[in-house]
Amino acid sequence: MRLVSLPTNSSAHRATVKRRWRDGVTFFCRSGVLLAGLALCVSFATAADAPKLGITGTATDDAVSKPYPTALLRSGASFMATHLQAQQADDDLNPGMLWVDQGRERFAADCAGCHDGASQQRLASSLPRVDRSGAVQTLETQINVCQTSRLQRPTYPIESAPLLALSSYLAFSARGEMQRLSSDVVRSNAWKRGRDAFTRVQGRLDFSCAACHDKMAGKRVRTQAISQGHGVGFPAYRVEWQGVGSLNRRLRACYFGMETGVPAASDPALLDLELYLAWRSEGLPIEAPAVRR
Amino acid sequence: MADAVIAAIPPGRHARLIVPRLLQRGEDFTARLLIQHPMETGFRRDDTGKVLPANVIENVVLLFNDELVFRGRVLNALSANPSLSVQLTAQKSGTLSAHWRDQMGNVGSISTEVRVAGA
Repeated sequence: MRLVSLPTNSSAHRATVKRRWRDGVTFFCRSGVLLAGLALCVSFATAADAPKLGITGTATDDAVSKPYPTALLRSGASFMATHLQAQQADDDLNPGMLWVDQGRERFAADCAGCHDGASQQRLASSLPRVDRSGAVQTLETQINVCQTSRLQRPTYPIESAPLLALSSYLAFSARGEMQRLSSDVVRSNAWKRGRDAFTRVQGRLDFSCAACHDKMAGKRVRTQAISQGHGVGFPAYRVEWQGVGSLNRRLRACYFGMETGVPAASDPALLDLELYLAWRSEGLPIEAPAVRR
Repeated sequence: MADAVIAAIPPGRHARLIVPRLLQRGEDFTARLLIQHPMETGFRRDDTGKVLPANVIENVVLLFNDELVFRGRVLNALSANPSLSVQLTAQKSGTLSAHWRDQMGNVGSISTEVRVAGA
């Protein structure tokens, strides 16, 4: 195209402008089609390649990497003060054992008819699991499933004394067993929801669970050491609670600390998070009832 | 199905009393007592703002074969779920029992066998 300087009111100028405009539109249209075609190709390529390359981070790939390799896993106890570690290690001083004793009595009365020692020992380390309906079963919900289906009784309320006693006893029975979930757990929607909840920036303080527990473990927030965020010690005796509480209660306390608004204890999102946390801590031994600050 | 209604357990109902499995005659040992009790100081409030009434364990006694071996007047210097260690000397086998009472009159007790070799 030749650029010539012409008076703006001439007919030659008007013709030139018209031609340029028409050429431009044609070019735009042609290139637009081309671009759209190119974009289509690219999008096909992305859709086809993404799961294999792991670009999107979807859970379709079995080899989803964990935040901590097994060799670097540290349970919450290793971030505690030494006197709390000593209290946890000594069953005569660990107040969580009071709950374990009550759970042992209740288990002998209600559960021992069906459950033998070996299955009882494995149970807590292999939970949470995803059932056929896609719902997450934790130790606590599993106890309540037995209550309704086998014993034909009403469920125990969350954080009620008998439920905490039974869950403490069963977790104690699995003490030393490695946390090990079913390998297909990462394909479940519950796991994906749990991972998303863990990595989503939320709350007034504007951070995610992962921002501290994946990236800052060992450093301090105010005066307290940041742990790796593993739940293998729960149900745990917390000094702050002056009693034993479940992981569900601990997670609600986390949300309180993050200033997000605290979810209800029955919120299924907490179960998803428990599943994701257990998957993160696969390879750590169960150490319930732990002592935490 | 609706949740079960769980009756509140009175404080101080559950405890652990631990002694070594087998002792020699004349051996010193530690009896450890752990009591499940909130030890309310009277300074705390519940979620609705109501003051939680003070209720702490006042008296703890240890009996060996119904004979007094330890008497402690413990008040709010102890934390929730208090742990007590008492040094004793083993002379003969028998039953060691602990008894306690809190400010609201709840009483609790626990006992365990002390086994002394050859006695």
